[in-house]
Amino acid sequence: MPLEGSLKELSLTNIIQLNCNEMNTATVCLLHEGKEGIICFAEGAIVHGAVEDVVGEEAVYELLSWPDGSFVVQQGQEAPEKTISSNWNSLLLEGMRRLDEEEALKWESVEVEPEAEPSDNGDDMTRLARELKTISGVEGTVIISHDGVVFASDIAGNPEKEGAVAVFVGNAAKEVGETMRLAPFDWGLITMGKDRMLVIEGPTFFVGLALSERASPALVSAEAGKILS
Amino acid sequence: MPKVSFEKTLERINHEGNFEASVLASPDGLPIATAPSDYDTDITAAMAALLRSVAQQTQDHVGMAPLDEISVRASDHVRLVCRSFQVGGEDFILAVVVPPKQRYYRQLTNRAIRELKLTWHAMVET
Repeated sequence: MPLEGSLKELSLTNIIQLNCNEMNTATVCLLHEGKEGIICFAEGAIVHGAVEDVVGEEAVYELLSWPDGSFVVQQGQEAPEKTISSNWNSLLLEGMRRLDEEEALKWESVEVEPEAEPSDNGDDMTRLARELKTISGVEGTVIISHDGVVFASDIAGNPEKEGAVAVFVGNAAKEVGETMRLAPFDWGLITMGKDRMLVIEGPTFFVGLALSERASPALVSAEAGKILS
Repeated sequence: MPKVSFEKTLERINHEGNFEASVLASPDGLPIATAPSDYDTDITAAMAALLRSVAQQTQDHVGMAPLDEISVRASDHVRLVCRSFQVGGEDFILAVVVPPKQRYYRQLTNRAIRELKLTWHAMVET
């Protein structure tokens, strides 16, 4: 029996992750504002995507940009052709990067006045990272774009690695909150051995805060919220 | 009757912690046992598995210590907590939905994991 639903309830990102993690062979048919698209899986890999005349990876990126619509998942239905050979993780990351880029462009066109002097964004971010590190219980900070570019950091170890944790957890937390119809994402916390990282979303970035052993995520989150607002 | 025992453990922590849902799930997102709840336990189990999978990939990519817990708090302070544990070489996820103002979930979930492990061992030995 096919699984049907709305993309607002279960996003395409989630559908892809679930089918790939479960090594499914399936075809997902999508409908958005009169446009139809499909994504096909073979033993957990994305092998085909199509939307109107576009096929392959570009079709997947377009489908990932649909904010709403409906879907039908036909388990066991094989792809009519193979047009994609890239790893599904790479496809999702590239899809997210393109979405962030589009959003950033929209943001710039709305928020930036033409005559405004260019600000030194890097310095602003560095100051923000340092300020966040002054919160009691915070041992390190990393500020990173939604697609994984480190803007600033003040953290022991490799900022790229710590930033990757923040991006993975932040994006997953958003997806989970939306799917479970929880209120908007406030923060995510990941505990690995003695390491804990609190992930908060800023206006156009994620903030990863390495916490000390006794720090309260709720208190740190509240303090960070004041600084970010 | 291991499933019944799993469910008893989940019902007990739901009651003692005022949790809104408790689910024991496999890493692929299938609910193994659940306590009665208003939440869709299939979705809760799938989301817990998704979080665990993301954390696992992160761990593989950046080489951090093994995952112990991953949690998401919503702006109304409801919190989804996913505890990852292993018994007999099998991976499991205990997911609980913690209501606002309930801070002490860690001891309860620690105890629940111990009980679930004992139940699993008892099941394997019989």
